[in-house]
Amino acid sequence: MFDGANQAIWLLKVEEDEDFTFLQFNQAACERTNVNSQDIINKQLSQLSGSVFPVSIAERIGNNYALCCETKRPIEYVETLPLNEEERWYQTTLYPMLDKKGKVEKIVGTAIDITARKLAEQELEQNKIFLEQIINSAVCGLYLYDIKQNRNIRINQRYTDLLGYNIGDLKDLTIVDLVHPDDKSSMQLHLDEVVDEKAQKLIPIEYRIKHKNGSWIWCSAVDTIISRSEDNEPSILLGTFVDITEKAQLLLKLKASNENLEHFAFLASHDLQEPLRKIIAFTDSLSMRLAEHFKGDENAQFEMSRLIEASSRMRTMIQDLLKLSRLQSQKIKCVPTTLKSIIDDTKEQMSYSLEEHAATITIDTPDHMIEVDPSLFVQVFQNLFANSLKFKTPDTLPVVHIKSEIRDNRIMIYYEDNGIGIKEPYWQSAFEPFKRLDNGNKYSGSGIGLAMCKEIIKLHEGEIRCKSSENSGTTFVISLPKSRD
Amino acid sequence: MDIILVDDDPDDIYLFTTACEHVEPKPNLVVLQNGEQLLEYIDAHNNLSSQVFLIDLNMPKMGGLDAMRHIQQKGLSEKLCLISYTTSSHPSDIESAFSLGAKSYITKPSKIVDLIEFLQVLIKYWFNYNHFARTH
Repeated sequence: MFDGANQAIWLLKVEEDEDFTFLQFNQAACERTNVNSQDIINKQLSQLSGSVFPVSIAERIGNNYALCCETKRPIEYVETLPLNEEERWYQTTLYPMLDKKGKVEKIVGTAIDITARKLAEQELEQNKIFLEQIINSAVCGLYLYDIKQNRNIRINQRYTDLLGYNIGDLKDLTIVDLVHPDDKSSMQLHLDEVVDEKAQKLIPIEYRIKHKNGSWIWCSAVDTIISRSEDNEPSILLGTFVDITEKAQLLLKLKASNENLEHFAFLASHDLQEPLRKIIAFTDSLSMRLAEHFKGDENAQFEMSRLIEASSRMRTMIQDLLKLSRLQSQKIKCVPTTLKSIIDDTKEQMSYSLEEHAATITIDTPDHMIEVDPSLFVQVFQNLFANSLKFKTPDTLPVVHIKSEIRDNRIMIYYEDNGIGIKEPYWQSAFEPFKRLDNGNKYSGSGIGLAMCKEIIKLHEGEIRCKSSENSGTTFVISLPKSRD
Repeated sequence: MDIILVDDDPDDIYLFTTACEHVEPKPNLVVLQNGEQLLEYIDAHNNLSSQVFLIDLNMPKMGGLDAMRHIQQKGLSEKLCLISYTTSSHPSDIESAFSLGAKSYITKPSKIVDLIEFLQVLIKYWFNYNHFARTH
């Protein structure tokens, strides 16, 4: 048993001159020191120094044995010994055995080879340093937040670079202390969601956090629970974030500038209406008064008629612009309805002109449910119908074919007519306000119809595109989100 | 046969006056500049039962809707023939005008011929066919 043991075991006799004689030295001890037992049994440590054991090692183990004698207590330590030019780690224990007088008579030594554990520990340490380097050189700030203590327990260098705090500064600050007052409620909802997330999904959030210097930093962060207690309560939250202050500020500016622009369009069109109305009224009145004088003066009559025509066209444009800008600030009221119901309402409102042109309108999917603002969507189809009638192929009765389908979780509505079509370079610009694609004055109207359609569909978070070719009709494709929140 | 035009815009007053010249029979036109003058006019006259009020909405000092609110508070709006006469065609303006007792809502015609035609219809409808409520 003694020789078969996996641990090195040896027995020492304590000599009067503070030397130690090896009485026993088991198989494992021989293998680990690379000696034969006959070379060591009954030999004193001083004899072995410089031959079996290098002087430095003999001195070191001698000191340990002497310490055991002196303290008369078991001592335990970790030591390294070379074996075949390789450093090995041992956990060594020395047990003193006392004689009747209470003096240390013998010492039992045991040693366990812990090299594998030591190497694993060293590797772990290296991995830790490696990980630390990665964490600290990451482009994002990182924090480990202890949910029970309600504070950060680890942050990386980037965190300090972005927000100014080091870990000491954060000792007494909870997340709620740092978050902008306006973002506190969304942060609380976010934390609830993170804590409830069982699949370790990363939950994103954007919020403002106070920099150490007092300024507000916009963060785009993802958080997740990386550690839970035994009763599955979340304990540690891992979060990473980047600074998006610049982007957020630009977005705010853009939003403000867009609002200004919309407001400007409204004011401009509203305020321009007034003087224009006067120009029209007085031109009209003047033309009545001067009608007698203009008899026989064709140029004067022509100029007067151009004046009236141009001013009334401008009025139509301004009124359309006003409609368009009112639309942009409109709140939509979506209700579930069918494609047929929308088309029927539109047909009713346009019955006169549809009958006048003997237009045929068919729907493939009349009962398809769509969730839209009916009055606005009637306007979309009014404009599309008007477009189809206005740009019909000469000497052909207008035919409109409507169908819908669900594709990629979106509702697609296809509107096809047999009109003159739109050339490809104009597919985009057809939706711009006041864009009149043909240069002649063959077609009247201000050119706001398709812009209105686009704006209404945009309000529904959808898109409208045109894909047609000249002389084979126009196809408009409307895509709408299937379900709206 | 009185038409009371409440409007601050000199051009509109001019055009309205011009149009009145072209209608037969010629109405008796009274022009007031704003809501305050309208309220003063109503206070100063006992018999208002054969008069049509054309009231612009946007006027300095007191606009048309405010004036009509005062008239409503006096309990007179049911009896008077108040007509909104404005450039606005905004749905909220139309709703407010009717809820404040307007009997009709007219957007100002911009062509003089249309204005003359409107005046002829107005006179015929309100003074030939319509019966006014007694106000005194």
